[in-house]
Amino acid sequence: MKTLLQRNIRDRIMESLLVLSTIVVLLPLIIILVHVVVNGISALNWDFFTQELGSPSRAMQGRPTGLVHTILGTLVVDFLALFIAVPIGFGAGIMLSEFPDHKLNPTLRVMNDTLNGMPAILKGLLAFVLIVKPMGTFSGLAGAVALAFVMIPIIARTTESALMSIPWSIREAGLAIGLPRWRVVLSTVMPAARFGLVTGTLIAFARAAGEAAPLLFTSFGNNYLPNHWLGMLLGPVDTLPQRLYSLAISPYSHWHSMGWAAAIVLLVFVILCFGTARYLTRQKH
Amino acid sequence: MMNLIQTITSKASSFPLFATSESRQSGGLAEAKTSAGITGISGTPGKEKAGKQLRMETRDLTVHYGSTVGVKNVSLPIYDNQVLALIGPSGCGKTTYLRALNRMHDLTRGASVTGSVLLDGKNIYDSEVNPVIIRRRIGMVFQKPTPFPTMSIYDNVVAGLKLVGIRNTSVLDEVCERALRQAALFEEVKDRLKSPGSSLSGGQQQRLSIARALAVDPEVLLMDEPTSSLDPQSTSRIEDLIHELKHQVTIVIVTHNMQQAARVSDNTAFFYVGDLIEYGPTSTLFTKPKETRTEEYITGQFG
Repeated sequence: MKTLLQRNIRDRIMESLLVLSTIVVLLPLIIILVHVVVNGISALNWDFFTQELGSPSRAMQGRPTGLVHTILGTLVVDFLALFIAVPIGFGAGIMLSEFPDHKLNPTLRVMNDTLNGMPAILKGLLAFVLIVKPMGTFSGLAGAVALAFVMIPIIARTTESALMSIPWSIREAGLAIGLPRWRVVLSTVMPAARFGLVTGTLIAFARAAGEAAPLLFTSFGNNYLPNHWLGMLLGPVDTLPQRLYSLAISPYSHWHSMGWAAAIVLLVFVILCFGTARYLTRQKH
Repeated sequence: MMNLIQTITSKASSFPLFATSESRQSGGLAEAKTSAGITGISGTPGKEKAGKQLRMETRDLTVHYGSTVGVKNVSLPIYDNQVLALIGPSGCGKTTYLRALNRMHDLTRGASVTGSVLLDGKNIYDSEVNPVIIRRRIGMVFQKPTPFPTMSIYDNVVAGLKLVGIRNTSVLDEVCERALRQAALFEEVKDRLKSPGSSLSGGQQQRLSIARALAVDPEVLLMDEPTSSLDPQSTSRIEDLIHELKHQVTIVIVTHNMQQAARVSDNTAFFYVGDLIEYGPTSTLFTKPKETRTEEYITGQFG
């Protein structure tokens, strides 16, 4: 028979083990955050947000240089990707959750999971074949399509689980007052699941925003701001993850610190998305 | 409050198209000014006096869930403006039978229905029949109150109209008040129609569900143990409601509570393990049951 003291000690030991494993999980994240901030903060200045990058000589001669074109390009490409992915992802999610008996459903589920597990660079390759080849040029549009392929399976899955969490009785109540099935989904189930839908979309968005691989041969990168806003869609455009990569492999030390600064901006962007998602999920309870 | 009713009443009369198809409702609203209840609402004349007129009928209705049988070969008449109670122990198939009456099984995985369900002589399972139309004519109230979680009380009541494209606010206002009065809820919620439906108490939510079902003006109302999750007071309100409503709609109610069946129904059907054991006028079935199993059940020997 163990004494109360012994049981309390055991309890304490287990608790400290749990705390320890939490720290082990958090440590890499903290190291990355600290490292990125320490290395990049010096390059985060007014010029960084207002100037375009230009050629390497600009940085070496100490002329003002920055990543405004990258930040704008990221916003354009990411939001266009979201615009493409949300209707398709919602559609697939609705299919998975609301029409479980449909003939196409098992195939859709397998395909969706496959797409989700597919290496991101292959999605870039797909967009290259679909968009870049016919257009004859790298473009923001191709980048957005590649990122949409990253978002779609995530949105489809989160939409499915958000809709499934709404009790079946709500659907029956809708049908019982003579509403068609699509109307029941659109007007009663989806509003009830709205927090889950937004959260899933934000998670997909944040995930895609951090991807560099699908953009390497789709939006390609650009050291300058296009002359016209359409140039962002129809020509090569810069994005943060891909610019981070090219700055990091460049031989210029000034560019290295700009790369770290780009990482800070990207991290803040992604953390904001996840933060909003978490806030919205909390609201629900 | 009087002002509100008067405005709505005047709106009602300024909308003749609706008033003619809903003749009872203008009378009901006018009456409501003095009696403030649902007593003034009366069925169309003739409809009431016709007595036992067949409204629905099932013939050899069998429902399978995969390989298991829910109900088998049930043939029952459902008379106009009468209340039919379905009783029996848990799992006897009464809810299964009820859900077959407005094609609710269409969405249940693996469920199949054979036999026929006639509404005014026409089989609702015929291939050319649109289940959406059938469900507008045959409404349903469920065991648990199911207000649409994101909608206000008002939007909940008129959901069946608003979501199919009826946007005329005077029509919607009028239907909302009529349905809430029919469900004996209007007085309690008239000052907070814009607050969420889920903010109401359980009993009120159930009456809201009834109001929502009545708003689309169904001919038949199916009620699946509508009072099983409610307190005695709410239960008796809903039973009173059934008494009032049967003048306008035909009601089929599933209940676990035999006293309730005795109180509210004109006819009763007793189900046992998927079979219809006995059917008859409620007074006869409860006093002189023909079948021993019926007698054993109603005297509380099993169930």
